[in-house]
Amino acid sequence: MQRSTKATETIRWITKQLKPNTDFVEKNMKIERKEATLLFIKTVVDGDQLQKLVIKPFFEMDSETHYEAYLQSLPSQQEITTKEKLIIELTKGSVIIVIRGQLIMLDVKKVNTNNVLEAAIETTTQGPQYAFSEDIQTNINLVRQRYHEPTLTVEIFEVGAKSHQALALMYDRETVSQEVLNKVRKNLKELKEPIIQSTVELKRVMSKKKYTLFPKMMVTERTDRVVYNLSGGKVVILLDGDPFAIIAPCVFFDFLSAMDDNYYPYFVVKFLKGIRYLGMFFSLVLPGLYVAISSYNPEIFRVQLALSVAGSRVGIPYPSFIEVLFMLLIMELLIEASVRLPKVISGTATTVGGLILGTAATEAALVSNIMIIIVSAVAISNFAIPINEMNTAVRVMKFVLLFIATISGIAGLTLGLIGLVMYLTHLNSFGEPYLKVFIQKKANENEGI
Amino acid sequence: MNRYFYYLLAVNMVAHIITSVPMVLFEARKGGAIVSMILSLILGTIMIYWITKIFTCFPGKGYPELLKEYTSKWISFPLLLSTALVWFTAGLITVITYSALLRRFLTPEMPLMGIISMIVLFVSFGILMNSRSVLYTVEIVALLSIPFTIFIFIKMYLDKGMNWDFVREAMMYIGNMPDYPSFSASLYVILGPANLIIFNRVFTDKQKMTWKQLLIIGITGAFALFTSYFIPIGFQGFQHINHLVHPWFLTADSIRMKFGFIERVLFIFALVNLAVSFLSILVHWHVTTELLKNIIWFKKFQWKGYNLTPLVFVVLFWIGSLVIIPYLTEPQLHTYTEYALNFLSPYVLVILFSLLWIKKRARA
Repeated sequence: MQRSTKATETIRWITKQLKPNTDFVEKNMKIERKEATLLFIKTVVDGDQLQKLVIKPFFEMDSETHYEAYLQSLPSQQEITTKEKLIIELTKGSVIIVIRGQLIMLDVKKVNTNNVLEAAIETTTQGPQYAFSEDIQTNINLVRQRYHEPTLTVEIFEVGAKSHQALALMYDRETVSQEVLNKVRKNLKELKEPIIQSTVELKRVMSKKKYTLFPKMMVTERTDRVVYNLSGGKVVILLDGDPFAIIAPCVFFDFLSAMDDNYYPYFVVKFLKGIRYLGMFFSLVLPGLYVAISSYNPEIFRVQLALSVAGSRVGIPYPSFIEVLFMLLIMELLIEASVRLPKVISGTATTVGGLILGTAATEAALVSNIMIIIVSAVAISNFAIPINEMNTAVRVMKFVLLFIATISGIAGLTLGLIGLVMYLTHLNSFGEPYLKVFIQKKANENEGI
Repeated sequence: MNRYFYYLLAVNMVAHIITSVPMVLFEARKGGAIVSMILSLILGTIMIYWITKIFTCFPGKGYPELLKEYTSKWISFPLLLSTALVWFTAGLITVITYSALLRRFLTPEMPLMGIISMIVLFVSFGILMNSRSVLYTVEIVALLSIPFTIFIFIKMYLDKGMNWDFVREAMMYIGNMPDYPSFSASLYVILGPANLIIFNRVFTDKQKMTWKQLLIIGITGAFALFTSYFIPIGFQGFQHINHLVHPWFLTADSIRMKFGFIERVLFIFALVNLAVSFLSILVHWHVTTELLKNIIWFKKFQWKGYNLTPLVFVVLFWIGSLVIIPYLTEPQLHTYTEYALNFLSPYVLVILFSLLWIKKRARA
């Protein structure tokens, strides 16, 4: 039989490829007139399932034909295309059964990462508390459980020339913009990276441009955000092994919206949003403003305030921009250190940092009292930005504005802010303008430009 | 018209107060300033209405495209070149005036070259963007700064220092014959929508220009002109106001916010006006670059797939500003601005007539 020779050849090839592995198993099952061979990698398959689905029925069935029919009917059966594909699936946790000269592949993967995690980064006070897991099947399931629309489409891709991870592209067929979808698809197909470990990395390699600062796609861990964006016609990308989803296209205002905005009453939401924008504005402007006011134009403030700013700087041995830079750098170091440190030690970092940023630096006459207030205000208001990536972009951007203010005072700071607005309006995310005010009703808004 | 049209209108209406426009008017305060203002308001509104009306017949097409389509190269080339020059001068006036203001009021220690470079640096990035992004920027900055402007205006109208007797005194000269310099200077105030010559490219949908729009242009224009002429007179008196160098800045410095942590309104006014003037420069020079692109285009001047021709224009702008500005003294600046204004505003008539001709040919 030709089929059987081909199958034997494939088996021999696979065995040769995987033989050096000690956890590779080639098992022959034989009883009476029945015979079958199992090929799998012990460490990635679920032993119980294998036993229940494959091994036990073999000994209970009457004949090979019965057994084959049984296997063919299992829902976890996978399609066999090429030899290379077979071997990749084996490493992912499939089992190959050779019966009557035919190959059947079943998915009996053991997944240890499918427990759903609690939302840790984008927390809400009232609203869904659980986020994604690290397993793609579970994640797709989570989304589907929240979005029961037959138009929801899931396309599975594979990324990483070496890691061969599964990647799911989800969108609502009816609302999605075809142009964006095609761009995303093309983008995904062009990826050449050998290993993509996280969605954030995927996002970075997808954006292609090397020098970027502001995020153009959103990375989120919240299922409700994903579902909300799906219904709005956006594309969602899930990567296996990462509890985050990518949402594209995203514009500037998306990064300042929290999911709470959909849950609270109108005026509360307006207030919270106002606070957030104010926070972003403060954390961008305050350091530069301090330098501009204290070194260029102290006359802007009313006399009492100008005097108290100048008074608090008495005894400080260097110009204001060094003071600001020094404090900001310490603050950034503190933030960076508390992210990297093991959780057990991170308390120490904050305590020590608190001492530095606190009274000690003032008493040593290294920085002024007002500077301490400004640095803390910058740090606090920065964390009011709900999406982490916009958060970090603003963290970097404030140094640019500080630099401009240092060389050209308050006028430069104003121009710098306008420059930032220009830069943001100049960007686009998959063809959507990145920063654009929406004040008219949707139909009128899209009219003209 | 869609809302971006009104931003173009508003930018000129606010930005003019730092240029020499009010000073030109104050010089003619005992002559025909008021009548000229009224006349220019009426004529200007009609001109703008007409120009916009013609552009609504050609959605998505700018002035260069229309010229290329309906006229020969011998007509379109000089027209585009002179238009580009006019728009460049309009932007340059604002750059010059504002850098002088910055040196006097906000950054006295900074060298003039530094101030100019700072403004032009940001402008150069802006003018190279596409027209859509320019409009988005104009919208955002205008939405942020125009409320402050209106707040300052209202505060000025309600301030105790505002003496309406001076205004009444100024009103007495309403019967005089109009004069040309104040006419063309006040025409500049409402000519913002003339920027449609490029921005009509992005208005791809059919727009409507009705008497409502006409009314809005007329009323806001009247308010802007009235404010920019009478408020400084109300604060500074009628007799010698023409001796002031920066009447509007001094007026803004005449009021204070008793409970604000910024006490002197001057600084808010200066920063808000910096933003709006920046928009004015941005819009004018963006139009200039786009016009120049239609005249001069080096096809082979490329680097990594980008055509570098627009950069040549930017370099020209840099050279223009850095050479001209330090060369001018402030009285010279004022005199030349007046000459320029005499020439600039009526130039819109040229555009209007060429458009009328284009429309006629398009119909034929």
